[in-house]
Amino acid sequence: MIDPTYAIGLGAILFTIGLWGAFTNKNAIIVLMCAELILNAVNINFIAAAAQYGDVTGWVYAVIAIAIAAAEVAIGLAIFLSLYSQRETINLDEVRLLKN
Amino acid sequence: MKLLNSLAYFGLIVMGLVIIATVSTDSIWEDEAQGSPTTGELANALLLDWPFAFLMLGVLLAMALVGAAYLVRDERKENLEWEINGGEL
Amino acid sequence: MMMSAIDYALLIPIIPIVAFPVILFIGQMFNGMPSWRKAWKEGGTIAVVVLGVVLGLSLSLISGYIGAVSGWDAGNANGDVSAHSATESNDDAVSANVGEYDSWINFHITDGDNLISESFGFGIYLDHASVMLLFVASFLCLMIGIFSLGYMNTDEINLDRNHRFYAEFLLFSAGMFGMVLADDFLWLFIFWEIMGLCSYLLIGFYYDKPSAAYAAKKAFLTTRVGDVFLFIGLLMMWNLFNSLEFATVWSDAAIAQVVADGNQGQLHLALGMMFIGAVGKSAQFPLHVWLPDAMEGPTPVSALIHAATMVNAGLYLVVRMIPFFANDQLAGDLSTLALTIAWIGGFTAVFAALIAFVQKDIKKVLAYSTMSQLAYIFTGLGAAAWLLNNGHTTAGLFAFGASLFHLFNHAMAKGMLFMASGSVIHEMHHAHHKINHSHGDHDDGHHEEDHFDAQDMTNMGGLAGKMPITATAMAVGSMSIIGIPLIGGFWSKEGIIASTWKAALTDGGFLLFGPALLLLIGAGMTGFYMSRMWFMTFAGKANTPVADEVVEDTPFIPIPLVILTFMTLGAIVLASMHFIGWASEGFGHLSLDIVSGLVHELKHAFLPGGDDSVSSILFLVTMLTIFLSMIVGPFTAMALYGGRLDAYKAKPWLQWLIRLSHKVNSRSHFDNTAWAESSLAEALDKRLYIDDFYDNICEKWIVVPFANICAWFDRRVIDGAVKGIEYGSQETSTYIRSLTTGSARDYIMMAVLGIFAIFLLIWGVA
Repeated sequence: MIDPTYAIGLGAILFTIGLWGAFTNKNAIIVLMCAELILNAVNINFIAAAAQYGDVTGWVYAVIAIAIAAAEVAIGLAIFLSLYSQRETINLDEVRLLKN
Repeated sequence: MKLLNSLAYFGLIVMGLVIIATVSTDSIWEDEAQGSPTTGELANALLLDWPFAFLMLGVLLAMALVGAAYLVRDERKENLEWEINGGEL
Repeated sequence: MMMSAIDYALLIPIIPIVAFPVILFIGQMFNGMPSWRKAWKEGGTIAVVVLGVVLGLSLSLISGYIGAVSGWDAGNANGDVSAHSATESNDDAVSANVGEYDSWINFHITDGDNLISESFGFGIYLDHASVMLLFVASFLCLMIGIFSLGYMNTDEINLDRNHRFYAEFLLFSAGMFGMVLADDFLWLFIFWEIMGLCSYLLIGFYYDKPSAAYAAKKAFLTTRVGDVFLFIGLLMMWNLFNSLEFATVWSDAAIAQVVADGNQGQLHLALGMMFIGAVGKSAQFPLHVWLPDAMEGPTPVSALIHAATMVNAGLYLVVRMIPFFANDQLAGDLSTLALTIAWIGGFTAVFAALIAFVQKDIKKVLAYSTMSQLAYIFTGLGAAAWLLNNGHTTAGLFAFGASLFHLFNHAMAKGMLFMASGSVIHEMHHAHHKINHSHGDHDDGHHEEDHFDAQDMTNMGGLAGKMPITATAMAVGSMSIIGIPLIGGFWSKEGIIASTWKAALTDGGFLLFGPALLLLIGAGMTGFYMSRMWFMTFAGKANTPVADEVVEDTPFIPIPLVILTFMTLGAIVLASMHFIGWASEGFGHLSLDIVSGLVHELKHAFLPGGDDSVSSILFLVTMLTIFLSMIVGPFTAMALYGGRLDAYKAKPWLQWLIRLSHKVNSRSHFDNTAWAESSLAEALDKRLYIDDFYDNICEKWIVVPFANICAWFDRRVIDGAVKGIEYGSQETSTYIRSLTTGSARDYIMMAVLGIFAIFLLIWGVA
């Protein structure tokens, strides 16, 4: 089997890249994609642990995480659509609706 | 603001490296891997050991669907008239 | 019977303390109701009942004590007392703690640590001095309580305020009883402070009068200065003995320890500090400035606190220091302090008497007289201390006993004098109101232009006919204070003067000549100013129409006056019961054989000590004293102020006095205008500028700089801290607010930072 170190390492790298992307990009959809990356990195972690111990609980957690990620993306995209229909832009720098 | 910005960048890089280093050298990985479970086991676990969570997942996805559908509704005038007229112009 | 009396001794201070808040609360509740005013006298009846109960308890305690301890000696033919003293060891005689008694009631506060509870528990300590003072205190408190029923409740200005008065009165009496019964210096100090507090409250009873408020503040602060020293002294004592209980501190073992460690100097200094506290409390020079101003309080307050009980607290403290002087392990070490005590006493005696010469206010004369007489007692105690410390035990014990007896006499007489003066002032007030009301053109309730000073003696005159009881009381009291032979104060005063001279004549006592001479001069001066007071008030013609209208008709006031008159006259009985010897525990059981006792005491008045021969010098001294005080002083006063009454005739026992004064007055050519207008008189009127000096120092050098420092501290440090907090929090909040830019990217950045922080935590912990 694969040395779990690699799987975990992959997960960590993906997590960092996702975090970086979410932090840096201006386009809202890119940010959403990076959020997905983060979630999937965590899933890889779960699977690696399940493989290590032969316990199916890890897989169950991963399934739950995937489902929740899907729900989140759905809502996120819907919000961005509303935002675009109002402001004509999804550039996060120009969206300052929450300013005090 | 700028300071926090640069701090966050720096922290990210450092954190990434540290995570990789720490997690991969952790002691819980030292035993022999015991192989992945099978899909059949997954199905059994989902339906028999975690029924409630499975159900709630379904409910959650359904709610997300409904929510998304509502959020992207089109409020143009002709669509609303079409709706009021029972689906016909 | 004895057991039960002792067991109730703890109640003596407790009952008044408990009654104090009761009267306050009930008074607040019922204030203004007519039945509360009339029947309950706004708390007066409660106070008097409480004091009566306390007196009863005290008397049973005292009789039990006397029965148990010193025994009654019925009819020893020559009053053979010397045998008794020879069989007892020296320090036993003075530090006799009556072994059975002081361990009967010891309410120790049990702590984890036994040593502390031993030292701080409240216990009862009885010996002759405390028993005597307990009687004086409880008796006078009751008498003055009855007096206040008449004095305070019939004065319009006090209406609806009296419950405060009676409550504070009771608190004060509790303080006095507690102090007298306490068995260690710490509790003595605690009750001392309670009395100081009540003195402040009661002097400032008329708190809306600025002069009264000022006087109260002055009294409290001046005695506070003394109290600081007292506390330092107590700390030093604790340092030396690790205990403040009388029994421990006076014991031979403890003192031996001190001597072995070579700490006599420290003990000396500690006792000196405590003496300064006594100086403050008993208004001796230089901390005397508060006593004349304390007359702003109502007259019962002056009578009780500033004549009869609180100022005796300082004396009681010195009495409790005497056993140190008597202990032969410390022989000769404490002489300096004894001399200081005697000198301060002697100086104050003459100083106060001088100022009393020019006083026009009747209460101020009595205040200065108090100062002077207390100085006599201090001198007596100083002489006793010196004699005891230098090995002359019998003479020292005699001086000690004479001082205690003078305390007793003075308290009784002064209390009565103040009450009598209160009666005079009260009646003058009423007469003034009567006159002003009888011109019925204006009928407003309060007379603002009432500048008539009812206390000014130049407004009085010729009152002997109209106020017989008061005049008699005042005459007897004055005679006691002056030391007219055979009446009250004579026995004790002669004892003190003779003792001081005897001490001065002993080897090494030449420094005591000063006080001795001063006391002698003071005797004559006392004769003068007391007689002056009496004759100005009661003899001659009425100086104002108000004095003509005076009638003695206030209820309750005559009762204590009469009782105390008889007590003062009866001091001769006490004297012949060997009271002096008994009080000092040196020699003498109280003897019931009056006549032989009288003869014995007469002889001994001329010579302190046990031998039967009459020392010629001391005889001369005593004769001189009698001459000065009985002849020179009063006759000078009569020459200046005497005179026949015009309208009413006085009672027979006063009439001869008035007639005598008239004879002297009409035949003398003594004109004192030169004296009266001299600069000395002016200086005396300003109290020799000492008050002004203190005021100046305090204002310029103490209050203002200190106030400046405090103001700076308040502005910079305290306000600065608060403002700093305010500024800091504002800045912080502004900064944090600037973080909410509204831009989603910035918020994502925050989230990342948060992840970062959590990661750090987890990594750090792992």
